[in-house]
Amino acid sequence: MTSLSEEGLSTNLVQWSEDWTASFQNDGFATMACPGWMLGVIEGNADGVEGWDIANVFPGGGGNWGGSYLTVPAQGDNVEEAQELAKWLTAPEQQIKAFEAKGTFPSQVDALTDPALTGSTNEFFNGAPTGQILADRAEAVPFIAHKGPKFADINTAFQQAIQRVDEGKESADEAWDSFLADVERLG
Amino acid sequence: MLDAKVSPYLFVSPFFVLFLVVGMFPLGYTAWVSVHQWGLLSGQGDFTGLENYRRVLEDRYFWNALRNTISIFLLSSIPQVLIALALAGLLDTQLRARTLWRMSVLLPFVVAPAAVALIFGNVFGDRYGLANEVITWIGLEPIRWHVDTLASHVAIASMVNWRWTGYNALILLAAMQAVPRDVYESAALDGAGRIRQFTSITVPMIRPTVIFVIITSTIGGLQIFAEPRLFDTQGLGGSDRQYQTLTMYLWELGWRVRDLGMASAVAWLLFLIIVVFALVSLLVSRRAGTLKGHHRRSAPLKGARR
Amino acid sequence: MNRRPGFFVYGLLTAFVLGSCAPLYWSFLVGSHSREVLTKRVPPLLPGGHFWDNAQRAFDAVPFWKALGNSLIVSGTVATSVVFFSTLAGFAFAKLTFRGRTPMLVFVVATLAVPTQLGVIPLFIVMAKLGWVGSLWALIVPSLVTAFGVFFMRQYLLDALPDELIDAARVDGCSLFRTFWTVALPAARPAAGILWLFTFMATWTDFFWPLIVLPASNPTVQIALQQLQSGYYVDYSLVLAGATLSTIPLLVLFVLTGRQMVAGIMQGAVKG
Repeated sequence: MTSLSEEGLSTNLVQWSEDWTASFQNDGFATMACPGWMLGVIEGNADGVEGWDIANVFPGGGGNWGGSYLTVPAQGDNVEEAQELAKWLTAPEQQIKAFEAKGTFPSQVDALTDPALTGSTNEFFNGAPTGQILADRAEAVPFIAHKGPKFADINTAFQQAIQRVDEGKESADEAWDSFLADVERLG
Repeated sequence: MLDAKVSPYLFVSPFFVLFLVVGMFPLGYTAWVSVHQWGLLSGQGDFTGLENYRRVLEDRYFWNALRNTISIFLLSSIPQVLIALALAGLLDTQLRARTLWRMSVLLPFVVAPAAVALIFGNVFGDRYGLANEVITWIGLEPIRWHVDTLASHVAIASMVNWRWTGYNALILLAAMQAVPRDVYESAALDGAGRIRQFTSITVPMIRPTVIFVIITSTIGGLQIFAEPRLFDTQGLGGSDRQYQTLTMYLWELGWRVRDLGMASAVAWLLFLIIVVFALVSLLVSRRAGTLKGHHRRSAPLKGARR
Repeated sequence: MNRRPGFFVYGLLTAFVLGSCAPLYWSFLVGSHSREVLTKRVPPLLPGGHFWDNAQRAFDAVPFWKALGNSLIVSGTVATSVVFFSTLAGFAFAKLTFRGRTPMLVFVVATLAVPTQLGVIPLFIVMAKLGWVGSLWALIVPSLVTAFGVFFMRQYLLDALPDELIDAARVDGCSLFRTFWTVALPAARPAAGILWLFTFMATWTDFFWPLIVLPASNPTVQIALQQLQSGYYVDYSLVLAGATLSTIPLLVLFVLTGRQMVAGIMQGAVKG
C-alpha cells in the first residue's frame, strides 16, 4: 500500500465517494480489486465506457471481500423455521438460481462447479468467462477468516488507516499504530 | 370563584406535564445512564461512577472532536456576523421593494441542512467539484476539501454561513431600525460619511443584539451535526476524523460503538461546554452593555436553533 | 433621514441574493442533467432535460412519497400541538394571576437554552421500551411542547391582549376557558401563525433525532435524502434531484408566507 501510494500508482480516491464514482467515466482507474458483486457496480458506474475486462489473478491466490449473511436472532418467534429457511436459501441449488437471475456469486463450494456458473460470461467485461474466473479465485481461498461481532467496526478502522496513508496524512507505521489504538478503543 | 383559582393551573399543566416527561426527565436520566455501564443492546449494567467520563476524557477522539467543533464554529460565526452586519446595513436603507429584498436574503434558510450538505458536498468535490474547477481555472492548485483538516472545516462552515447569514442579518436589521434617525442627522452635520456612521454609530448602538446573535450561533454551532455528517458518504468525519464534531462523536459512541454510558457522558460534557461558552458570551455582553450605556431595544428572544 | 441607496447598494445586494440562490440553482442544474453529462467535468450552465427522469429514479431508490407524507404528518402535528399548548400556557402566564406563577415562568426561561441533543439517549431508551422506535410516535411525542413556544406566546399576549377585554368577558359570565377561546385565541393569531411556521420548519429540517429512531423503510424527507447519498453509487444527478425535490415543499411555504417569516424574525419570533 505504501509503495503503491509513493510510486503514484494509487488513484487516491476514497471508495464509494463521489470522486471515486466519477472516475469510472473519466479514465480514473487502471485496475481495481473485483469481488463478484463489484462487477455490477463497475458496469453501472462505467456505463458506456469500453475496455473493462477481468483477469484471473489475485495476490496470494484468493481472498474474500464482502458478501451477504443471513442471521436468525435468538429472540425471534419462529427460530427453527427461520433457520430452515436460511438453510434452504443458501443451499447450492438456490444459490445457482439466484446467480442466474441476478448474478449474485454463490458461497457454497458445491455450487462452484455448476456448469451454469462456470459457463457464464459477461459481455460488458469483454466477454470474459467471469463465472469460471471467480470460481477459480474462490477455490484458491486458503482459509475462511473468522468474523467476530466487531468485524465491521474493525474493518472500517482498517480502511480509514489505509486511507490516511493514501492521503499522505500518516506513514504506514503510524497508520498501523493508530489502527491498533482504534481497535483497542472499540473495547 | 373555583374557576379563577383552578383554571390557570389547568392551562399551564398540559405544558408542564409533557415538558417534565419529554424535556426534563431525559436530562436527569442522561446523568443516571452516564454513571453506569450501558450497552445499546444489552441495556443497563453495573454502576461505574465516573468511569465513563474518565474514558471519554482520555479518548483522543473526544479532544479531536472538541477542536473540530470549535474550529468550525469560529469559521462559521465570525464571517457570518461580519457579513450579516454589512448586509443589514445595506438593507437598512430606503430600498425599493424592500420586502422582496428581505425575503430574498432569507431564502437559504428554507433549505434543510441535509440538502445543504449534499449540495455543498458536490460543489466541494476533491477532484470533480465546481469549487476546484473554479480554483484551477484561476490558476491555483486544487484543494483537497475532504482530506485537509482546515479545508474541510472551511467547506462545512460555508454551509452554515450560507444558511444563516441572511437570517441573522434580519435580526440585526430589526435592531438597526430602532436606532433613532436624528443621531444620524447630527452625525451627517458633523461631516461623517455613511461608512463612518455605520461603524461609529450603528454598530455600537446595536451591540447587545450583535452579542445575542453570537450567543445563539454559539449554542447552535456547538451542536452542528447534519452538515459534517453528510459531507462524505461514510459519516465518520473523514479518514482521520478531521471533521468529526462533538455531536457526531456522541452519535458514534452511542450508535456505532453501542456504548450508551459513554455517549451520555459526552452529552453532559457537551452541555457543560455550551453553558460555559454561553456564560462567557453573556458576561461579555453585560460588560459591553454597561460600557455603551443605553440601548433602546432589547435583543430579540430566541431559543436554541438548529 | 433620507438615505436613498444608489447603484452600489443595489449591486451588492444583488450579488448577495445571487449567492443565496446559486446553490439551489446548482442543485437543480445537476439534478436536471443525465449522469453521463455530469461525469464529464462541470455540466453546462443551463438545465438539461432529465430532471423528471432523475426524480423518477430517486422515487425508485427510496420511499420518497412516504417520506414526504411522514414529514408532513410529523411537522404538522408537532407545530399544531406546540402552538396550542403554548398559547394555553402563555395566556395563563401573561394574563392570569396564580400562586407559583413567577417561579414557574423562571423555570420555563431557564430551560430555553438546554440543547435537545442532551436528552436523546434516554429518549431512545424509553422509545425502545415502548416499542416506538421506527414509528412516527418517536418523532412526535418528544416534540409536543417547547419552552420557547410558551415564552414566546406569553411575551406576545402580554402586550397584544388588553386586560379590559378579559375583564369584559369575565363580567359577561364567561368561564376562563371560554374567555381563552373567544378572546385570547383570536388575539394570539398573528403570533400563533409565526410560531406554527417556525416550529413546522424546525421539525421538517431536523436530521439528528430522525436518523437515530427511524429505519430506512419509514423515513422522513431528510432521512430519505441521506439514503440517496449513502448507497453504493453516489449518483449526483439522482442525489441533487432529490435534494431539489425535498426543498420544493418548503419553497412553496416560503413563497406563501415569506413575509410573515421575515416579520417574525424581525420581531424576535425566531426558532429554528
